[in-house]
Amino acid sequence: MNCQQFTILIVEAARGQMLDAAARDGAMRHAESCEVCTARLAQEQNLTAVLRTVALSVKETGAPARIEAKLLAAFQESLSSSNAATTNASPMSLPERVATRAQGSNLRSRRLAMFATAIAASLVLVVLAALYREFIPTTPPQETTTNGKPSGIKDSPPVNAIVVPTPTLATSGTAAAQQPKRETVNTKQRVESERAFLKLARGTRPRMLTSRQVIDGGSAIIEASGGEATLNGAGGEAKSNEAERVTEFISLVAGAPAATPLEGGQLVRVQLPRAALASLGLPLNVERENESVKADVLLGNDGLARAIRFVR
Amino acid sequence: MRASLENSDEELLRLAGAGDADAFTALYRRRQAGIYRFALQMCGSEGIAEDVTQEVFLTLVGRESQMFDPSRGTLAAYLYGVARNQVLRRLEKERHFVAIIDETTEDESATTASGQLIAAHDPLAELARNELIEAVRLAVLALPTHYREVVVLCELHEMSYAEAATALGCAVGTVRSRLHRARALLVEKLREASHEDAATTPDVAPLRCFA
Repeated sequence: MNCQQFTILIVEAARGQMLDAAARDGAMRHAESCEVCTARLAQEQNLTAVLRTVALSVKETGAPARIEAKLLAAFQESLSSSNAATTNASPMSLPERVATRAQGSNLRSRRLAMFATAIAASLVLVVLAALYREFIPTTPPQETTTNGKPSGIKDSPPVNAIVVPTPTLATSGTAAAQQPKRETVNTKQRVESERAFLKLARGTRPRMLTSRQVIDGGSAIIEASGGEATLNGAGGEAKSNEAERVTEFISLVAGAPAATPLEGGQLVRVQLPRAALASLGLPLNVERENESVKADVLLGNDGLARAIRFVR
Repeated sequence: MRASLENSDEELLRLAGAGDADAFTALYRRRQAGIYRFALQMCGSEGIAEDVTQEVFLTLVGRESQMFDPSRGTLAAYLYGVARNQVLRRLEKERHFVAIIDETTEDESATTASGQLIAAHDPLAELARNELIEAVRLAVLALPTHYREVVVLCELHEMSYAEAATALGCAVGTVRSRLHRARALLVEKLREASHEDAATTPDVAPLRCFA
């Protein structure tokens, strides 16, 4: 045996652990012949003795008696809690902690599941938002001025969206109609009305209708008075000096069924180049091709344009 | 079947699981000292050692006692494994804090820890022995955690390599190599400590005079 082999066995030899008889004899013979290894073995044996002294010095050391009392109380409490159906709602003490530990593990797994679900839901929302931004170019709408005339509207494409200052459908008087708001189509009547528009618009050539004709079926009247739109409830009297004339709504959803459900949305007034009429199959006066034309675009809650009507 | 000293740990655990408080008490009394000492020697704090002991035995109460798998090792090894995890968690939590060493408390704790078993036949020998024990205790505490735990289990608790490997969740060869390295480090630390003591002792003549 050489010094390197002896080093491998020196700790076991110093600790008096079970060694192969041949290995032990070889180690002892090497230690007798090598002074360095003899010194190292003596050092390791000293260390072992010191460590055993330390181990002996604390051999009787144990946990205080109060730990045993606490644990026994916890044990009894867990027994009683497992037998009793009711649980105590007092602040957590040691026995209660024990009793609720098992429930805690279930709670932890439930929380993990809920956390994973929340992460999955947020991921889906992020993906949907990304898709929405990808496919729906969002042009910030330009508010019209108080007299209803759009400011900063340009004739060049793309579409400049203008929000018509229109009161909500719930208003029946004209007081609330003075404050400009985004027109939100969220009432049942309006949904039915728009649904009817979509039905009519499919496969029919647009014709000019007055707003009264259109909205009568939907129990709401949109009027334009001096450039300022007002809204009256069902049965309300039209008080406009000059009624806008509008076409029927033309569906912009390719391949959509005629009765497309519409839970809500927004009606946005835009100004388009007249060339847009041709793209929708409407007759176009080439002499006025450079002029613009007003239109109402019906946006769904998802931001997609569902239908369009032209205003004169 | 009543709990008795002849029952194995696993039988006592089974009885305790069936609601036998005596079995639980017997099991606790059989194993608490080792767990407490392990925690104390790993942390050097009686408070932490008490907390760890309490947490370890709480795992044997209620449904959590079913987490012990006899096919993976003895109950003692399982308890040491739980204690080790608790100790490592405490050490990790307190890693960012610096202990304020109160010399009085240190001396008292050293005396209470080491002086319980020593018969006071020879005061000087007892003093030297206490100093030695304290030096070794501090040297063990100064070891890195993975070396400290093998020293505590194999040297201070006299576990075999296999038992220590089960408790630590590692291979026997790993325990063996770590113990070799830990003992070498321990010798170095004790040597450094003895040199420091010699250097701070006022009556030791300096090796060289710089005057």
